[in-house]
This record gives sequence, C-alpha cells and structure tokens, in this order.
Amino acid sequence: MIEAKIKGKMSYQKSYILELLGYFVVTGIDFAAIYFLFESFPAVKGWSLWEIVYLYGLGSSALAIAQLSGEVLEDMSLIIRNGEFDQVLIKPISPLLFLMPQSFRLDRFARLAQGVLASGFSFYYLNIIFSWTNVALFLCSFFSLIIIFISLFLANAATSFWTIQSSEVFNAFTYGGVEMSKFPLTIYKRWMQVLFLFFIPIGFVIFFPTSILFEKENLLNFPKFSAFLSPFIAIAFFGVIWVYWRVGIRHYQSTGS
Amino acid sequence: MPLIRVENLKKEFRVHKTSGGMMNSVKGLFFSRGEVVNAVDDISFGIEKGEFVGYLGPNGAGKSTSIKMLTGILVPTSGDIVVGGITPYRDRKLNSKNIGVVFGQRTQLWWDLPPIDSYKLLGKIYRRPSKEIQLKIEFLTELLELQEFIKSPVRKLSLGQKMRCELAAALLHSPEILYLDEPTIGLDVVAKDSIRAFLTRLNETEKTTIILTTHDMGDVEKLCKRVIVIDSGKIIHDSSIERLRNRFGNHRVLEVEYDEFSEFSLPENVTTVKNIGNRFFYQFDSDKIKAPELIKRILEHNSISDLSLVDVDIEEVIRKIYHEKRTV
Ligand SMILES: Nc1ncnc2c1ncn2[C@@H]1O[C@H](COP(=O)(O)OP(=O)(O)OP(=O)(O)O)[C@@H](O)[C@H]1O
Ligand SMILES: [Mg+2]
Repeated sequence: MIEAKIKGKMSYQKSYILELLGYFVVTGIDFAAIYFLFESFPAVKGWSLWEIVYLYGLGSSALAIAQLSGEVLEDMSLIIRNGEFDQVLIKPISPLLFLMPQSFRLDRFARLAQGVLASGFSFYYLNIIFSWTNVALFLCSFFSLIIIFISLFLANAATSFWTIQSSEVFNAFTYGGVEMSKFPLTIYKRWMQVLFLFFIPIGFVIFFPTSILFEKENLLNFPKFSAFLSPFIAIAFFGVIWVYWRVGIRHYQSTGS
Repeated sequence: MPLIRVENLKKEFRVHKTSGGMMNSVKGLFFSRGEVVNAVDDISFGIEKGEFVGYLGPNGAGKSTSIKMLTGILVPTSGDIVVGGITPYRDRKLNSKNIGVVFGQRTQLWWDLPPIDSYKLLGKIYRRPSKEIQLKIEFLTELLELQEFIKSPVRKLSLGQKMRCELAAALLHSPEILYLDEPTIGLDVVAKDSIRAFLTRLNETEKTTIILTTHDMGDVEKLCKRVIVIDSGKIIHDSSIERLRNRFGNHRVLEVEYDEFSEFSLPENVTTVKNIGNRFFYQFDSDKIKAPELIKRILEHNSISDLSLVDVDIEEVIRKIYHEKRTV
C-alpha cells in the first residue's frame, strides 16, 4: 500500500520535487524557531534548557511516527463524504489496515529527524548514561505517546461517523497535547494537570518516566513506579477509543449518493 | 433457499438540522433529535442464483440504501438479510469475498495509479495468488478491451474507459454476486452497448447473479429478466420482464402514413394516440385484436404509403407504475 502511495506521488514528478524542497525549507524554519525559543527560556521550574529540548524531541518524534501511521484518519470526514469509506467496507480487510498506510508521507521524516536529533543532543549534553533503566524509561514514554496520538486520531475519525463538523474536538487535544508536552507538567494549572494525567494521559506518559530519568524530586505525590505504568495507561486509553470506533462503524450512515 | 433473502428490511435515517458551529454539533452528538427518513420501509424479496434483476425506482426511492445494506456497508434498522448464508453487516469481510460492487458515481481504483497497479493491489487485499489474478486481469482486459489504457493513470481516463476498468476491478476475485448501482450513468451509446454485452455474457456463461439499479430503461430492456420497482422505500412491483410489459395489457402501437386520409370507424380496443398530418399512431391490445386484422381494416378504407409496428417500451410501463403509485 505504501509502495502504491509513493508510486502514485511519483507520477506527479514535478510537484513531488517541489514538495521535497518544501519539507527542507519548513524544517529549517522549525529549527530556527527552537533556537530562538530556547534563547528566551533558559530554564523553567527547575528544568534546564536541555531537559526541555528532550521533551520537545520526544514529543516531535512520537508525533511524527503517529502521523506516519495514522494521520489519514484526520481526513475521515472527507473519506466518508467522497464515498471512499463505502469502498473500504466492501473489501475483506479491516478499515484501519486499509486506510492507515495511506498516512505515509515523506515530509514527516523531517519532523522525525528533528525530534531524534533534539533528543540525541539533549542526552549528550545531560550526560545521560546508556543503561537498561534509562532506555526503558525513554521507550515507555515514546511508545505510550505514539499510542495515545494514534488513539486521538482514531477518536477524531470515529467522531465523524456521527457528525461531520465536530472533528476538531480531538484535534485540539492532539495538537494541544503536543504543545503541552514541550514543558514539564508542573508548570500547568491544577485542572490542566488532571486533564492530561487521567483523561488524555499525554502528561502521564511523559512526565513520570522523564522525571525519573532526570532525577526530579517533584512527582506530584505519585509513586515512582507510575513511570512504568505508562504503557498500560496508553493501551487502556487506546482500548476505550477502539470501542468508540467500533460503535461508530456500526452507526455509519454513508452518504445519500 | 434463495441466494439472497431479504425480509422486512427497514432503514431509517435521522436527519439533523444542524445550524453549524461547534456547540451545535456537539449537541447533535448527544441529543439525537431531528427528522426520521424511512429510506427503506419494510421490503422482502428473494433472489436465486443466476438471476439478472433490475432494481428500479424514482430518485430517492431507496435503491442505493438497499444495495448498501445488501453489501454490508450499512447496518439495517430492522429486518433480516441473508446472502449466501451470511448476514452481510455481521460478517462483512466474509461477505465481501463473495460480492463485487460498482457504484457508478464512485471509484474503487486508486486515482493516481494505472488500473493494472490497482488490480494487483486488489489481488493482495483479496488474498488471491498473483498467478490467478494475472490470468484474471488478462481475461478481463480482453473482454472489456482495456489494452489501450490499462497502463495510464485513472485520472486520465474517460468516463467510459473508467467504467470498464471499474467493472474489471469488481470482478477480479470472481464474485458470485455483482451489485451495480447506476453503472451506465453518463455513458454514450457505444460504451453502454459494450458494457451491456459484457454483462449479458457474464450472467449467461459464468452464471453471476447481477442486481442492477439504473434510470436507463435501455439497460432494463436489454439486460434484466426480472424487475423489482420500489418507491418511497416500499416494493410496488416485482415480476419477470414479460409480466411487467403486459401489466397494462399487451399494448402495441401501429404507425401508419396515409396517402390521403378519410375518416373511418376504428375497431373496438383501438385508440388513436396522436396524429401528425397524415401520420397516425394507433394503440391496441394485441390480446384482443391482432395486428394483421387491424391493418386489413385500415386498408379497406384507405391507401397507405408507409407503416410500422412497435411494442410499448418499458419506459412507458415504468412511467405508468411510478405515476399510478403517486396518484393512489
Ligand atoms: N446517509 C444518508 N443520510 C440521510 N439520509 C439519507 C442518506 N442516504 C440516503 N438518504 C435518504 O434516503 C432516501 C433514499 O435514498 P437512496 O440514495 O437510497 O435513493 P436512490 O433510490 O438510490 O435514489 P437515486 O435514484 O437518486 O440514486 C432519500 O430520501 C435520501 O435522502
Ligand atoms: Mg442511488
């Protein structure tokens, strides 16, 4: 499927090259933005510059992977409206398996590279040693975040089975969550903390593993093992959204021709 | 037991009057008020293997909605559907291996890919051995004459070329049943003919069961052996095509051009439909008076320069059925 997608793209050779050029320009601007951001923020609530670079890198790379696998779900209302979803449902394949590979976009690798670079540098400057625990802590955050972002895309898509317009609700959480994840949870107001710990657990899966990785004292009164609960929390979150999606498909109304 | 069995099938749509804005659509999510449209309203029928059925009805009658329930796209509000022993919306994937579907206004081919690539992908989705798919592609290419454009991207194909490619795509996995929702929409006469010839062959030699919705009575006349007519979600007619033709008597029309017309009394059961100068159109019921008899009567009174005999076309009959329903 991915192969087909690239092949399809290749058939517009000129626009393809232009698009690639576009990726590089955008990435360049992004990097400049990070630099200026950090110039004006030396440290936040006991978190150093490089610790925040790590948060940024973690968020961007997880988002990039989530987008590479599930971004097409953002276009669900369009897919429903132009009848493509009808076509999906008459094939012997699960709709997600059919649709998700279409998310593949080369330009997302720019974001991924940027995220990986940012976390790599921060590890280097923070002298984080390469131990099993540290790798596990990083992976806990990373994979849990990917699962949560994909779940949010899925929630967004499932919502379009009921109403074409309200799909922005979950988008707000996804991209709001990305912005939020760039800074430690402790700087936010109480209600924001509660929201991102228990309802949209982006904060949960970033904050606890990262705090332990950087040996922070303030864990908001949570036990240390919360860090390793992250993957379970993420999977539970996905489970709930999955049920919502299944209910949505049964409720699917198609379009009047 | 019939291949397709439909019993007391209903589909309601709830139509919201949303006035836009996020708050309103969130409200719409939780408080499902709004009007109910009975798109399909308690229909039942059975279709045997190998039948070629025309599924007709005016715009908004519920044809597409029915097809979507038969194919497993939509979950019925109530009632039963069993297709080859399977309930489509429950065993959607299993059912989909058994059916081919063409929606005339949609495409199942990848827009940027040439059809041949789409076919290979579809072969993988249906999990068929690539050898088998290769042979099937060659076979369908031959029959549907796709050679010239099978390697150009779909977005560059004409409507007629695209429709032929769609048909091939729907048949790659050799389904037992083919659902066609307005497959001839927008096509020229030649393209229609080639598609009709292909469908006839498919039905006759491969015994594929075909269910066709169309607004083109030429399709019905040339293809269908049975006709189901629905209106406002209810079945208003279901019979063989011959029975349909005879529903309003076995009507035929005789067209006569007189050298010079002089008044005479027509036999019983014959009516003048219209006349243009010396050209007259007589309608008669051939169960009650035979054509030669009528012609003889005419020649007794007048000399004529030309004459032709036509059956009442299906279009007229269908129009009457739609109309009858409306005025009841
Ligand atoms: N997704 C939908 N949501 C709401 N109403 C719908 C939907 N699909 C169909 N309808 C309504 O259901 C009725 C039947 O529609 P359907 O598309 O089945 O008609 P049709 O017989 O295929 O008509 P046409 O000949 O115009 O294609 C119409 O009143 C239509 O407005
Ligand atoms: Mg229709």
